[in-house]
Amino acid sequence: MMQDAILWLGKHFSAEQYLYYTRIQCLAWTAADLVLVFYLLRLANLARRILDYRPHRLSYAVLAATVSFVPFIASAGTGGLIFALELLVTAPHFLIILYVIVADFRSFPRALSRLLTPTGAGEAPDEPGAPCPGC
Amino acid sequence: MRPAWFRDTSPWLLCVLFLTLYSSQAAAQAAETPLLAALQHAAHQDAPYRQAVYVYLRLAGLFWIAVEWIAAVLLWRGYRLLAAAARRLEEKR
Repeated sequence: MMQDAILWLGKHFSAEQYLYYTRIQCLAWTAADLVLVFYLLRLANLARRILDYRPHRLSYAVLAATVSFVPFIASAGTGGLIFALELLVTAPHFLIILYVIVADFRSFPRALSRLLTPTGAGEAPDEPGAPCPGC
Repeated sequence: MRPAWFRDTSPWLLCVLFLTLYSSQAAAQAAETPLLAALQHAAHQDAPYRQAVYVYLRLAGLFWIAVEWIAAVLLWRGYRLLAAAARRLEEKR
């Protein structure tokens, strides 16, 4: 039965259909990536705002630049082109994620601790010159 | 007297020429042999299974898209929760 199912799938799934569904899937995960990275940046900026740090701006610009390649995925004629466009879109996304993780590795828990403390003071800042709302 | 570049490159050029001619002749002969026909037949027999592998990859892709969307929605909801908490904190100040 399994063999029949595999054979049926194989016979009813042509290369053209494969390319068509690749485009749809590519758009679906690219959209998910865009939402994911956008809210990751918003979260990071929220944490930075709580700590009175400068917000991320360049990362938003990079994210906006990657959006410009997305419409071309819908009309890409070959798998190779889809892959290249996908690289152009997702590689900067992964770099943004990596950058945010590295840049806000310490600030995010500190902001969270400040949010969760009833007085809003949270963990004492350990950097000279950093604002201390509880002091 | 032959120029130096010719003396240096001619053995290589001869090798390339020989391999090109030999391989094209071998390919032409192989196209007519039953062995190649049998190999092509076997490849075509295998095609549905290869397509099934593509279908499997497709399904794995769907699973990954679902995971990405779940992560995106969780981040969105997390942001909304924390933003509301931050607003409350600012109002308290």
